[in-house]
Amino acid sequence: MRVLIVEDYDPLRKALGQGLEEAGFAVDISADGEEGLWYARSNEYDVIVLDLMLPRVDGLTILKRLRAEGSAVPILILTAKDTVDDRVTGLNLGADDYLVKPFAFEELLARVRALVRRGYNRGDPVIQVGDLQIDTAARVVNRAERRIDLSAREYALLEYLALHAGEVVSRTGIWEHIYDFHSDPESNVVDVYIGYLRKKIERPGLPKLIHTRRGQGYLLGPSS
Amino acid sequence: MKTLQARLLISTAIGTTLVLLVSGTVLYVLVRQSLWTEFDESLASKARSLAALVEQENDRLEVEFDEASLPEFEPSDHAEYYQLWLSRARVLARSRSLGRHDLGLIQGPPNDPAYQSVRLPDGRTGRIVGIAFVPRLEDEDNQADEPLEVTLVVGRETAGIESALARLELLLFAVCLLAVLVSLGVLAWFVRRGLRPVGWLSAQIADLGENDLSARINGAGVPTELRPVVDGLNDLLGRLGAAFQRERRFTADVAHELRTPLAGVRSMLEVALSKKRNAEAYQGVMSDCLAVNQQMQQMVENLLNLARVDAGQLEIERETVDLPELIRQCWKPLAERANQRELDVDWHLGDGCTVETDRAKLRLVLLNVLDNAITHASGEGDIVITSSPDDGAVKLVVSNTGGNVAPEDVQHVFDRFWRGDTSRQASAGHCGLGLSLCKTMVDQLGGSIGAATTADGTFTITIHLPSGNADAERAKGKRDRPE
Repeated sequence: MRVLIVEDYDPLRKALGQGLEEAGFAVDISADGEEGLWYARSNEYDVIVLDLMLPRVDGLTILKRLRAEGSAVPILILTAKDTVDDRVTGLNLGADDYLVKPFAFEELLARVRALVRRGYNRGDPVIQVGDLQIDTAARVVNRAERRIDLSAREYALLEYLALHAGEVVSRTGIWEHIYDFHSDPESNVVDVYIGYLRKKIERPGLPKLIHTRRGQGYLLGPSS
Repeated sequence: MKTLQARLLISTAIGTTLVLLVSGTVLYVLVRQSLWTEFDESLASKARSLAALVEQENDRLEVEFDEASLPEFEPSDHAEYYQLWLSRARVLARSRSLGRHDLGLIQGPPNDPAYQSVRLPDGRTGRIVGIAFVPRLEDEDNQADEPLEVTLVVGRETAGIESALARLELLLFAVCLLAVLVSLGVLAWFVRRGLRPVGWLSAQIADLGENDLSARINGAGVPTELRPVVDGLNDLLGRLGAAFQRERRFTADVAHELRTPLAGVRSMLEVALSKKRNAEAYQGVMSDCLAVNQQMQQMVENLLNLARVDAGQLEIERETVDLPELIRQCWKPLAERANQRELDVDWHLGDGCTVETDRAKLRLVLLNVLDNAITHASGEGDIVITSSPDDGAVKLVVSNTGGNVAPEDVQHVFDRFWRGDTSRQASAGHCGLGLSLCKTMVDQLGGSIGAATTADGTFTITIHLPSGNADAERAKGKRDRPE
């Protein structure tokens, strides 16, 4: 899942970027409002973590503009102001959640994950596709009661497919949601990772779950 | 009793009572005097009419009183008396009511009545009048007779006048008492009514919310005397409200500025601890945390200094300071950062720039000004530092290129927590307190500080400090002035 962090305080931005990346997110970071807005417009993010006091364009303005342009991307506001007014203003302008500084990183992570689920209209952190079970909170994957160990990238790919279970997802869509601007993957990297994933998930005797739709992309779901 | 109502009531009651007592007494004295005068005059006229009946015939005196026509001299409970004396030894006549008693002999100059209050022979209180006169001659032609001088004394009881006066006394006393009681009641009503606005005002004050300083007392219909109180209170509320607002904003700003670095440190540490890392990674995190810690320390110190100045707890200890030398000292800890940013620094430190000032405070000012210049100078930009004597003062000018303070914002650079747009981007450790502290400190040192910006973005801070001894004296005078 791809996350944008717009935060002007260097140490916090760096730490959040690193933390979310290590938690399996593709992360873009920006230190000022103008750049942040540009990022938000040019990519389809699963969550935007937005500081309110920003140079050039402040967080509330970014929020207003994105919503005015019809963007429904889940936005989590970070603020050092904790009055009811401050929080209500953000939520009323279209923010989905807020966190008052300083906060526990675990909480930020949990909220970001919850926002991702909400973005895909899923309340249950556990996604069931046939006999495949993906626990997005614990980042644990089981098939037919057997645990499957995945690398961070493989997991991200599977989670993206699972959130779209039953739908065809394009290679570009996958690309956009599991890689950030800084990664420079080979053009066939999605196919390569689909291959890795198939090897770990598909086993003889069990139904096929990852289907290729020629010219369109991939689909995760029980055999149709 | 300390209530205004009671005090007003008691003092007006005392006043009313005094006025009533004095006027009652005056009235009584006047009435009494006129009663006695009337009594005396009536007694005297009685004596005169009796005296007219005394005649001298040759050398004999004849008293032609017709006892029947003068029944008041007959013995009775209210009898009057007369007694005609020829001399102290010889009584010519006395009224029958007198029996064998004497009325006493009093006399003034001839024909001039003399009065005396006495106890009458039967024990009643009374008053006598004595008139010395020469009786009329029966034969007016006979001048040979030698005129004789006699004294007629007439007495009458005074019970009537005394009881009238006693009644008057009682009446006056009763009227006074009644008047005092009635006026007390009326006064109490007026005082209560008059003080109603005070009660109303105190109710208004009591209704003011503890936390709401925006409320004002409605002054409509308040008596003129209370108008200054209402205005004064409203004015006080206004100033308190503004001060509270400032304080609240300041506290919120402080909280905000401390929370952001706290959030940074916490996230850095939590992410670092989320899994096992190599020594270099930990080292990186620790040095990052240390940097944030230093920023926070600087900020807390600035805050503390500002708070001390605000509380008037800052003591100035003056000594002779060589400004260029102090500038170089302050530059040392900052030099590395300037080198990192590849800034060109132009030094123009003139001779003779000594100032009588507080070294530690000035050091704090210089550190903040220089740090500000390094922070805001554009990458590979210039910093120019100039110090020179300037008409009894020492002038220090620090300018840097690449400033982004708009000309209309220059006046705000000394405001607490004000910051130029990208200053946080340059370094989040600068929370807009440094220059504010500089201004406060320079003011305390008796100098002045100003900021200017040019179209090409050169930002300049100019500080004037009093230098010479005369100025030092003046500054000292200013410092010694009680706050």
